[in-house]
Amino acid sequence: MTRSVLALAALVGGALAAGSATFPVGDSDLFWHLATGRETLARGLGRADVFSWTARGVPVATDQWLGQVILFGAYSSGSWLGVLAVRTLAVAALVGCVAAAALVRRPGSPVIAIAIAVPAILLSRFIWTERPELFGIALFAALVLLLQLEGRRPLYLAAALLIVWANVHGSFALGAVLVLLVAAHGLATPRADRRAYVLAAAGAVLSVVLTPSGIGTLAAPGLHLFDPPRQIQEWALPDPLTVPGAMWAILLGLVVLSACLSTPARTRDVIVLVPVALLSLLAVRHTPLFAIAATPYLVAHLPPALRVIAARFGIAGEEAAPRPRRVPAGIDVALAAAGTVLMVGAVVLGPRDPEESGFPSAALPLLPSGPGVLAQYDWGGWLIWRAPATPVFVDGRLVPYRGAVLADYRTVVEARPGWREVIDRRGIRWILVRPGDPVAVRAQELGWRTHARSAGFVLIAVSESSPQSRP
Amino acid sequence: MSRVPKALSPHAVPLAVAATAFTLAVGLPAGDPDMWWQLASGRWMVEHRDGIRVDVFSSTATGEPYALGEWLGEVILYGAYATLGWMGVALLRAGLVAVAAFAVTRLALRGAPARVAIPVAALALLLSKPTWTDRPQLFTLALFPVLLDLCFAARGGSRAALSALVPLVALWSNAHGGYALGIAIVWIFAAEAVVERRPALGWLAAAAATTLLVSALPGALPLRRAAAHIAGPTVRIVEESPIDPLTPFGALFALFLGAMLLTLLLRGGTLLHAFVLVPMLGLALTAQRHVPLFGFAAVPLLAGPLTVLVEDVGTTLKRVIAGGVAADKEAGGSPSGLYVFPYQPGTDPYRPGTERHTRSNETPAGPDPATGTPAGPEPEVPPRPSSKSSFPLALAAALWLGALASIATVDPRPDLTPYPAKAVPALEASRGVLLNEYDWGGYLMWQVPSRPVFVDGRLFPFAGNGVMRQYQEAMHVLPSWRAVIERWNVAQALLRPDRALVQALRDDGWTVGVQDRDFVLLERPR
Repeated sequence: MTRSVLALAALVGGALAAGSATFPVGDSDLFWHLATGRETLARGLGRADVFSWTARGVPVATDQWLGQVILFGAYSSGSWLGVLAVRTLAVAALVGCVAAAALVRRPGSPVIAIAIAVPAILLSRFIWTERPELFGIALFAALVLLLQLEGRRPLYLAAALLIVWANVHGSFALGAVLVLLVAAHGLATPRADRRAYVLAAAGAVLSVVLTPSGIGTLAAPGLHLFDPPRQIQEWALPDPLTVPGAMWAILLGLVVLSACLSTPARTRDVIVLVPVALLSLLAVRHTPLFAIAATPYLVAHLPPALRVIAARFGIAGEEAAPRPRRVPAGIDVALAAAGTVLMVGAVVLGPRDPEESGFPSAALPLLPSGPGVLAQYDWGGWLIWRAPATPVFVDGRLVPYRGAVLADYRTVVEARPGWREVIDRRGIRWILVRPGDPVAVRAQELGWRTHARSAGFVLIAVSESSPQSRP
Repeated sequence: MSRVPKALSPHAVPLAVAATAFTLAVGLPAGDPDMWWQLASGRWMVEHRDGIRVDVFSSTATGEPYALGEWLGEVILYGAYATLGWMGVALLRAGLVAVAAFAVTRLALRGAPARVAIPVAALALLLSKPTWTDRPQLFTLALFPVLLDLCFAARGGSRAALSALVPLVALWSNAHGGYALGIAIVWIFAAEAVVERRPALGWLAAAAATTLLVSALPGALPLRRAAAHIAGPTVRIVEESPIDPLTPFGALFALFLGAMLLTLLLRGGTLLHAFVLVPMLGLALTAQRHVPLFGFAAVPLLAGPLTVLVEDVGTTLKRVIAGGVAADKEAGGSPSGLYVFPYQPGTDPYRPGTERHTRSNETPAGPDPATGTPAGPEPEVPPRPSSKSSFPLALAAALWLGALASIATVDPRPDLTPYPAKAVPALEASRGVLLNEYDWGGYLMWQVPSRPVFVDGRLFPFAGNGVMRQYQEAMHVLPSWRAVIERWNVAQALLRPDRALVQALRDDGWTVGVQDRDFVLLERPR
């Protein structure tokens, strides 16, 4: 990787990260990650739930402990601005790696390379959130970049990266699989540097065991992978009739087009592309992974494919891959510095408060302490952080609630038959939901007392004297 | 060999696969939720000797104009039922599936020998299995691969095949709205001929003729609406939602897609591959009901490259075992033969003189790449016979005998377990507006014609007038649910027991008329 590639990647990464820094923090999952990071630093790694009243003591996933500690460390160092800074840095790393992976495949045509990387960058925009998932996708982009590079050093770096990644986010499992496949192919190739491939494979294997839960760290990612919670937007199936889904489908189509009309792919491209393409069919949140994985291949193969079609109309001649120009060191330094300055400046001038308009802030003073409150799933993490004395019914951690708790939650919120039995059985005393939720509609019709209400939420006291009517 | 077996001999393998598909399809139980309203529509048209132009089945859209453009499919379906009862429906289903299997196998054989073509065709047919239901959609299942086969034959120079495209699309357009996809395929082949600088006038004429003809046919769903429905589903019902790879059907699709990507990335393709596969893949990703058609379209294009890939992998493995594999290269061919030619305009495996995908060290046939001078006319490349022996034909004959014999063992009665059959007497004995589950609307239209439905699988009559939205609001007890019940003066509600509305209505004093494990009929308090 040349100095110019690094400089241009730093500029692109810094500029887009600067743009991202204008948006305040406030992802619904940020808050429980912060709370978990705080618990980890205060009491050590928590392996059982301490935030809910429905799953207290139930084992929780630990696969993101390092990401959570980083987030809380940033918060404790610089309040919300610290979180914003970490997010911006992660976005810069993500975009920079995507851009670099594109540039190394076509160093002589940086404009084309960056233009082809734009869809992947745009698609990744949907997860530029303050969660360990963002760190995970940035590390995935770094792995894709390393796999574009020749020599043994990228393989060593990939091994080290996997070991860190395994403690940041469960997506490392994908990276480990890809590195193992690349290593297997490398070991089957004569004259390859077998030692480097063996070390890369060792890194992939070690990443699975060098975590607080050992191989058990795969439990949560595995559950999500094979039994995804489809009711959560990011775990829904990718739909080409939505904006992100359309971008993903177009990229998949461009890969097919390039495969049809361009030179055959190198084996390493195939090893990365095919599994990630199939993975991306599973859920919306996997589509940026495919976009990132496809970018280097598209940079190398899409222009020749388009030239084939254009040539049939006499528009373009044979491909003449331009050689990269030598750029003075001063310009490279200036580009990298410009990216850095933009990013730092945007963080310094960025919003200092989190975006909490989507949460029921006005209900906080009215919430009782202790168990008994059922709140919207999306608000659970926020309540863990903002109302620590009020344990939650469910929250975005999902894993501890799978099964009976989630089923009961849905029965109540959707006012399905038996919802009032669940309220009695669980001892729910307060319901904090959206005004349009069926349970809010029914509670109002049944005359239950509304303690607070706004356009976004309604806090209802469960009526013990209301007539019970059950089929 | 007598004249008939000689004529059938080249088709022995497709006939054998068709017989197998027939045997599998004829034994399937009827009972698709949409079959009922298609039958009811066919019955109405036969009894009234007229087409349906306004809704006559519902209480919420009655009298409103609507057209689904499937009149012929519905009449044929009802005709099969009226003639032979449920056995007629089963035979129609099996016959159309057999036609699809025959055409898909022919398509596969165009690009590959039988040992690869049969598994590829079987996989594509397996991918289509969820759509082997008794609906006019079956006509698209059968006619789409037939049209593709004709297109490939026409591309090989068959004027008869090119001419047959127009009447085929005319027939199809009156049987099912999926015909728009057929017209799109004809246009794709025309575009490919233009881009490849091959004789394109015939193609353009065929594409224009099919487009203009369906616009002139009064019974067909207008092309604009048919295309819009294919490209953008109206309401997110299951068959119009994206496919889930965690289901068996979705896993098969993922396997197919993975094989396609692997093959194309390693073996390359042609302009036709790109023109056909990219839009078909886009459609398959949009709605799961398009997945089978993507599979069919991919069959002829993948079978050839897959054959060479399989051979090359075998060769490479042998060399690996022998310790002599060549080093990987970025592109442009390797001594292992695993990497092959970059695409050269005007060359593909369906051209004469190119038995299959050219290897890297072979010179592909085709026009001069420098000057772009087109090659001469292309004679048809027929599907290759699998063997010169008479065994395949004998096998096909035996399989067909078995298929016909299997009819005797079939119980063609529909599977009524998903439907509220036990509520029928109570419904027949009562009156008033009935609020019913969407999936049961068609069944009620057929079984209880005296009771207009609230919604049903026809979808179109209810999508435009807001009834579907009101239906959802009522079912999920959203804020306006009570207003919906009152607006339509609903007298009875036939619902699944786990619906929120069941609890809400019971809280309001509605009484249970009939109840079973899977349904409850609620009645408004008097």
